[in-house]
Amino acid sequence: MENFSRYIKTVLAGMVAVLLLLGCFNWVIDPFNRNKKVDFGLPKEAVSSLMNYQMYKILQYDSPSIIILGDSRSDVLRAEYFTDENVYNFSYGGGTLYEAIDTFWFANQGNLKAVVLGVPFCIYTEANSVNRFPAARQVTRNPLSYYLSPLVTKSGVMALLTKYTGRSFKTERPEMSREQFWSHQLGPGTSMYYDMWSEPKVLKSRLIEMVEYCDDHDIELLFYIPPTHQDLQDKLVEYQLVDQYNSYKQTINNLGTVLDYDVPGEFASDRDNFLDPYHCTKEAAKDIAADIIGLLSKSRN
Amino acid sequence: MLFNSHLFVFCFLPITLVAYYLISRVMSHRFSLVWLVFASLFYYAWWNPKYLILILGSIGFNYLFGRLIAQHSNRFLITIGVITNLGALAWFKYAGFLVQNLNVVADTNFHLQTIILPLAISFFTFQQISYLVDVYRGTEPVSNLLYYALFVSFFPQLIAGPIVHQQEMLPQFFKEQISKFSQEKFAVGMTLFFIGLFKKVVLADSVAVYASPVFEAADQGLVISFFEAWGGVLAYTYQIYFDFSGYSDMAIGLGCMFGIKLPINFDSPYQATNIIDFWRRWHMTLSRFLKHYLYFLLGGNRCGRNRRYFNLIVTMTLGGLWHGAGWNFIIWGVLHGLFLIINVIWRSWRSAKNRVVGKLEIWLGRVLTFVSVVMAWIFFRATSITGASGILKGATGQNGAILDDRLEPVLSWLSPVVQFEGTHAGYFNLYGVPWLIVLGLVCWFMPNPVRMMSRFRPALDIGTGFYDRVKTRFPEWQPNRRWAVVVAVLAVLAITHMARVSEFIYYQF
Repeated sequence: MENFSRYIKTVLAGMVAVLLLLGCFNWVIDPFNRNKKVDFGLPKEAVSSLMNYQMYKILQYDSPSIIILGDSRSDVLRAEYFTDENVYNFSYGGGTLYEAIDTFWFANQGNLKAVVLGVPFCIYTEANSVNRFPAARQVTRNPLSYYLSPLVTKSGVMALLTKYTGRSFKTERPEMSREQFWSHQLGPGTSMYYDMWSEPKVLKSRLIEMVEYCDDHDIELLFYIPPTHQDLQDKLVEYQLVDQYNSYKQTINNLGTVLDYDVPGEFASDRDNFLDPYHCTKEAAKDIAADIIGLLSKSRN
Repeated sequence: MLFNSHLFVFCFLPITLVAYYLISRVMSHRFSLVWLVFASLFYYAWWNPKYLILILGSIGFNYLFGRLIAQHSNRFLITIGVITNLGALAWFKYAGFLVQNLNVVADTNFHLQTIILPLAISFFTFQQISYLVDVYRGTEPVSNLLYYALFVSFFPQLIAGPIVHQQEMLPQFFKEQISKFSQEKFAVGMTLFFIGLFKKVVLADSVAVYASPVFEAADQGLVISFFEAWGGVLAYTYQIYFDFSGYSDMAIGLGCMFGIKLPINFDSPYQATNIIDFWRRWHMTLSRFLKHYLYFLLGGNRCGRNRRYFNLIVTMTLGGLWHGAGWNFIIWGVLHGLFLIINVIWRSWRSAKNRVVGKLEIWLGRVLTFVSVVMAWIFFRATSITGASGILKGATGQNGAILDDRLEPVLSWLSPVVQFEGTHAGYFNLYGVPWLIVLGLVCWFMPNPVRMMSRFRPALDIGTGFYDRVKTRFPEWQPNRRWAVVVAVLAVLAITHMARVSEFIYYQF
């Protein structure tokens, strides 16, 4: 006579014990600040934003009236630059337009008044269809998937290690001088985007769907084309993408109001305005934020 | 509500299970079956309550038609019954595809609104067609609507099979002991369920991330090189196996937990030594359906050689089309039809020569079968013919062979034929290679879970002699502490990985 009863008990008890342990750890440490019940003074934001920025931002989202979407060029427009406005920056470094659009549908919880969507040329491409948003949303969807997630446990362990051992998990800066990094970004960094650039079709239809929805629901949609340095603007000729670039600008202009900073001129030629050919400095970002506020309030009036 | 969701594992399943046995104990076996029908319909409605009407209508129609056919044994009635079922399937599944092709061929501009494919329609339609045909051929119709509704809607098999026959299900429903809790059945069922869940969420979903980028790139018309193509296709080969066989294991396991045995659906298909053997091991209940209700109907192998080949092609093409409305599925079916014809020709040539099959030939057959199946998966997975031909071009070396330059020190001897390029060369991530090796070994050398538990006969054999075949040297499952630890670990790993975005591939069919 085989002991099925003992077998069943061992499997279920073992499984429940481990899951409970894991769940309790994740509930107490709560590295993504889901429940905010226990505070050990852990560097949760630093670690969690590194582990899964989308998840972190989803969990901190509190239905503001204005959201900013896009990649790192939009992420630099920090919410605190928009004084007197209830703004949430819902952009992710390394993000794609697919992620930005999915984020919009998630963020649209009835309270939205305006959306600022950063659409730089290099992510306006069908070639980069990476979309990490659904995966992040899946983990945050219900308490069980969050508290039983190995990613949450890993982030919790990292937060503990950072606090109690002083170990840093921040992304290491590349061992390059500013000049070398500049060249790297113009070389392999640009080839990564421009070699594979392809005319967006699915992406464009999704953008149009979003534009139509905003029109129908009185949500102001503002497109923002971030500044790039002249060196990068010149690369379009090298990669034979000038026509595609012009067509992209035309399309975005047809879709709605556009704040276009990606133009040749004094600003674009001055390296002091940029961290690298793709990213402007904090100071420039503050000015852009001021322009955005100005434009939004003007249209409201 | 998928089997791999928290809602299913922590709410739906325990509640349904406890209530099932409680009702049987407090009330009666009959009421516990009523509960099971209710739970199954609730499970179906969770996806979209609107389509509950469809499945209820289908159950009602086929139940009544079955009785009518039994009373009158009329060819006209069976024709109407089959056409009605196929008509519903055609409308929901193939109307868009037909209109699209008509527009191309006849240069018309018909427009059809998007039709949502009701969940499980392909499965419950086939199941009920087989029921009507069986009744027409003389099998007793189901005399009780409750039993018939359970036969169609029993939730473990409702969405993606196994496709069951009334003869194997109905006799079980009559037995009162199925609703009496049995520790043995529960232990066996729970074990199979967790192994299946592990196969799905840990193995299939993990390897899926290596397949998708390659196929997506090919669908966009990007150039796929040799190693990328093979990496992506092999990843998909393992993904679809672990996805679907994992689902089937879960279904069989769930059936056991409720005291009901479902037919076996997978028998280590990648260990097949020829393509005929492959179809005896892959989606076995679909193969059975196609064989009994299509191939035999067309005349099978009784009408001469050429007619047999024609029947094979037609059967497999329709089998391909059953999976989805698209030319890629049709090509996949045609390819398998051709493979089967080649296999039949080879077999008759070999038996004419009276040749004994050696070990080497068995292994060559196994490799050739595997490669053929893998190549056919290209058409199954790609969403366009352009994508499929892009992968095919890559896999046949027409786009050159590029490897990540981190491998150059080890593989520099390949440099005459291989180009070493960049640290991100290609759409197939190198971290996928260990997965391919491990999953390949599992598929090729390990017995499947049902075989490992064959002493307890958790699934119904469907005439393939599954339980009579030679046992493997791999340790059999026993209800002991060692296996309990193994299963508990698999369960924990599976449950903690359930938060990933994932869907069963066969749900869309």
